[in-house]
Amino acid sequence: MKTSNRTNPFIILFFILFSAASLLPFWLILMVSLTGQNALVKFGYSFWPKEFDLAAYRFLWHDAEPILRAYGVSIFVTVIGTVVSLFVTSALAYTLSRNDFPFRGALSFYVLFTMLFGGGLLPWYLVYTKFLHLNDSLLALIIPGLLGGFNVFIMRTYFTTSIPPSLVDSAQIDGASEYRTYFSIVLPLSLPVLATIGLFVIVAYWNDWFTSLVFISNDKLYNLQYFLYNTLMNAQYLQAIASKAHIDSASDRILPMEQLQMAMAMIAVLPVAMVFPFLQKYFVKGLTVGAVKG
Amino acid sequence: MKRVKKGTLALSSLLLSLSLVAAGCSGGNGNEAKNNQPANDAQASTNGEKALEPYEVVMVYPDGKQNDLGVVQDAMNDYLKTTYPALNMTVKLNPIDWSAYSDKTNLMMSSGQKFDLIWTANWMNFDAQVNKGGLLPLDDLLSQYGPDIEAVEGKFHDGARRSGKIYGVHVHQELGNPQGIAISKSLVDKYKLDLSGLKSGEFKDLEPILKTIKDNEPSITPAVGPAFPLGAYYGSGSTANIVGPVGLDLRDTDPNNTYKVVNTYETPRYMELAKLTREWFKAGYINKDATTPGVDIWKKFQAGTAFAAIGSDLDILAGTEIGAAQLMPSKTSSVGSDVIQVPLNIDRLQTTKLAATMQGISQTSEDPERAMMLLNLFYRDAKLLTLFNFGVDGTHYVLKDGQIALPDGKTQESVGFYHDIMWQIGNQMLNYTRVGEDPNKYKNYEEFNKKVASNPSPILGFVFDSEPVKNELIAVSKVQSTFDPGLQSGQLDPEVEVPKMIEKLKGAGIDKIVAEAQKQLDAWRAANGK
Amino acid sequence: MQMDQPITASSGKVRTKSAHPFRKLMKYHALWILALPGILLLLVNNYLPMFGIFLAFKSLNFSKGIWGSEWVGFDNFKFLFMTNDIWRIIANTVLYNLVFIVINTALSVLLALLLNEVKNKLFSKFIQSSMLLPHFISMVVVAYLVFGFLNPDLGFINKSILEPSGHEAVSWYMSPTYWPYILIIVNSWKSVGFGSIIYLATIIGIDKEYYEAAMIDGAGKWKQMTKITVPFLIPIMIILTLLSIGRIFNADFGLFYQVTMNSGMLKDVTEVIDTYVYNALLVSGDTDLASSAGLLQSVIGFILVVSVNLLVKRISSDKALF
Repeated sequence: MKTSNRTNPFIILFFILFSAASLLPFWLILMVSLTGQNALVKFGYSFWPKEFDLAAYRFLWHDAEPILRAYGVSIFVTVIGTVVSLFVTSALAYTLSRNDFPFRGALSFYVLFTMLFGGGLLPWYLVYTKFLHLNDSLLALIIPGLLGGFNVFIMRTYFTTSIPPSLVDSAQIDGASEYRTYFSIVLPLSLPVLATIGLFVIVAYWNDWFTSLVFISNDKLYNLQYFLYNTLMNAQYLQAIASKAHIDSASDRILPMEQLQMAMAMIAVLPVAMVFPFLQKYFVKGLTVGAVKG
Repeated sequence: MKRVKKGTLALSSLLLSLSLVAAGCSGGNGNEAKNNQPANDAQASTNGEKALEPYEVVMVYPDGKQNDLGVVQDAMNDYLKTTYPALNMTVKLNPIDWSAYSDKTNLMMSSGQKFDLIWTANWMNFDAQVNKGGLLPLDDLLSQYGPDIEAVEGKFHDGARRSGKIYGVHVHQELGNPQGIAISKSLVDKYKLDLSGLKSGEFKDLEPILKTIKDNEPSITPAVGPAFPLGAYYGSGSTANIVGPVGLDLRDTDPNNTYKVVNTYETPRYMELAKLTREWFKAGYINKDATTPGVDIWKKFQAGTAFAAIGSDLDILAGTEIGAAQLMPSKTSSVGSDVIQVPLNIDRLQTTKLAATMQGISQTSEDPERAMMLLNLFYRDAKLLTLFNFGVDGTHYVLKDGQIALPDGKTQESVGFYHDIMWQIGNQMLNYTRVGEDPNKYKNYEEFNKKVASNPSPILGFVFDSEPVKNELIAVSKVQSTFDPGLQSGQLDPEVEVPKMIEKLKGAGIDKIVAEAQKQLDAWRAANGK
Repeated sequence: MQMDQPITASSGKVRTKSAHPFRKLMKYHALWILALPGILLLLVNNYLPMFGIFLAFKSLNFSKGIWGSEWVGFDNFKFLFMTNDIWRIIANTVLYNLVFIVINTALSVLLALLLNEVKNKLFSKFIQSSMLLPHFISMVVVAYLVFGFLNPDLGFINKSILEPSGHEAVSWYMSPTYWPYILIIVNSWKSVGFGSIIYLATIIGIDKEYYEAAMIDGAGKWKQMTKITVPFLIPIMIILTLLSIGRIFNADFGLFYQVTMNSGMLKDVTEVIDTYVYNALLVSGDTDLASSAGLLQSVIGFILVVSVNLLVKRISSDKALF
């Protein structure tokens, strides 16, 4: 019994190494972003620079507007998207969780089929641009991520397994409307699953760059990830075009330094790294309550 | 097209008034327009002289972020309104980042999104756009509404001709470029390097110079990519390109083979240059990250870790000729220390080069006539061009001795509107030059163009119809994208990899492309008596 | 999870019986309204695009529009299979996914078992945080991180490991041989932490009585692990594996596109169906090729999911997806 309170030192060692492996890449990027130009060119990237320099961050601070704006877009889309997504997902899941709902089977299949078959990129794009006319709007960044079949089923499973039906019954016998039952009984009892799904959705929105790539051409609406992606890729393209276009590239700008790119990556990771440890509790808890089953 | 038919008559009369405006008869223009005003007056606005409904011409082109895009757009619209009221048009600038340009334009076309003018090029899906019906044929529009385009580019439409019709308007600019090396002057001086050997126009004569640097300056890369001899230098100096990697081998001296179409990867010259690059790579002359995305060779010049850029396009200067070492003004100013250029090849006039930067009109345009009118303005109106290229006077630039300079206290980053995309639209020769550039830049271009035009490709004017082999071309370009970077930068061993690539190209159907090109070329020769 | 369906079902029955018909109608009316936003979203995001599959049988011409373009039967598919590319791409997609499934499952379970042995709460929380962090960052950032190690000129591996030790630097983004390993490592790095948390959650849920009983019987740590913990994990391992097999035709686009920087030289070993469709559609503008490859992926994926589900049903019917 005594031994079970102690952790095997090898396991501790193993996890120290493992955590290091998880975190070191971030450390490397952080250090690159802090390396002075000369040391960088001479010694390359290293875990402890020979020469520190905050130039990249000063530059970002100086020209902060585009990044702040990209931050703003990401935060706005993530917050609105997550709130709406949780509502829409749980509402649909609640309906599906009700055994007395006559079209339960058909509706389940309606949700399920979307997980099995897809129309592809081009038709999807056509629906958004030709039918909904949503390109170059924040809605185009929000709507695609609002509802996933998998999340609906996780919530439904939670509702059917963790909320005693008698509770819903008695509320309704007491004359509570369906909406009231849903808002004041079901939702408050479902915080763990809402937190879990919420975290999934937050991550998906925060990390999304693809919808921006496809729908957004107005640089004022770039989100943070796409802004990062763009910085890296533009540098590459500007090189490629010079020879192809036979252009007179009279006074090219000298492009952002490596440190700058890495500093931007750091700035994108930072909020996730800061917020995540606090949410982690809910996350693990949420997973224990039936997230596995779809 | 249908939607505007009723206005066609009005349009042609307006064109008349337009030319009068431009000729300076601004007082008379209202009068003219009134006289010619057709029955269609229901839509005419208050002052009664506008026969055209207002129309917004959407311009799609690749460009980085400009904070003051809206300011410039407004200025352009004010200018258009006051100077060309009869056209009754506004522009909407719709720049797309380089990284997304091909993606976004493809999607916009496939979704049928409305836009009017689009920058395009034969290396940016021009052929796919034409084959897929994304661009309008421009022959009629050009002859009606493009007099100023025709005046400077009328002879150079062949590059944009597909199945007999013109689908793009080439930017009036240099007709070719010199290719060669750009080197750091301080190192040339330090080691008293002799550049006269380069008069041969051969890269192999650069070897001893690179070796000197390698031996004496361990921290400096002698030759930095991504520009290499196997790029533009090989293509222009040794082949007459037809489509993709298919063309004529101009180094083949057998007179029977003058018009023999080949896969240019199979020529001895390609292998020779590939081996040379490989040797240089193995000797450590070439940077290892030459093919890495985001590598900026000029930054290495700035940091003092690079000696030469090899195979890149060079400045067009007075007296530019093979082997002539001259100070390279553009890079000297951006790098901040002296850079010398030595041309090793000068382009011939080639049909394909005339499609390297163009404007097309989208089939989704609701008023192609108006789009063409605007495009025409870019070939005649220096003020409009200046607004588009340099922004608003006093805010984004000031004129110093007739050259463009940044306003005091402003940098390229902080000025709000700064780009170098003169090569994307209009008549470049009408542009201002920037401070630091040769004020005679465009005069030099004209001179240089004469030189290029005097050395035409044997198949100048021949246009390949890619429709019969379009699938093969896609497959071939995939193989190319796999091997090109590695071979060009010397990272792959050509003796092993070139045969492998040729085999893959055959699998992708390159022989069919060669045969088709030969067939079309023979027919063209018969028709043109060559 | 351990709650059983029958209770809900029977209570539902009771409820319907007791409800007044009119009230019942009103009640369902409300449920429909709650479900409506979700129904509409699925319609827009999923069902409307499905009609687009017919594009795979057309030669899309922009000026004729989607409806006016010519029908070409199976021509697009013929071209898809004309070169041998497609087989290599399918092989890449499937093989990578298989390797990912095996390695990630094994590592995740192993980590979960070990993590369960860590008694210090704070330390355990720190480990969980650090190994989950990679899961929560975007592939764009991952591409930057990988670039930090592999940048051929300045990257950590070339500059700080290979060159000082006298080895020749490697042009990573040009050398296909290394990429299967790189991609596997990156994928594990990003997803093993998350996987192990799922298993850990299951382990925590195992009734403590089992272990107490085992200890009374004198079973050691190893015995407890192999005889109690692992058997509890096996059903979930099977379900998760089968679910992944159902998606074996869908590659992680971000991984293969961003982390490789879409480098042409690496295509032989890094091109998967998703990047192929993307490149065909957006880079070369070949809508026909893209829609036929996309449909192929959808159809095979569909068949796989349905068959896997049948299999799951055989093994444990309540775990089946449908």
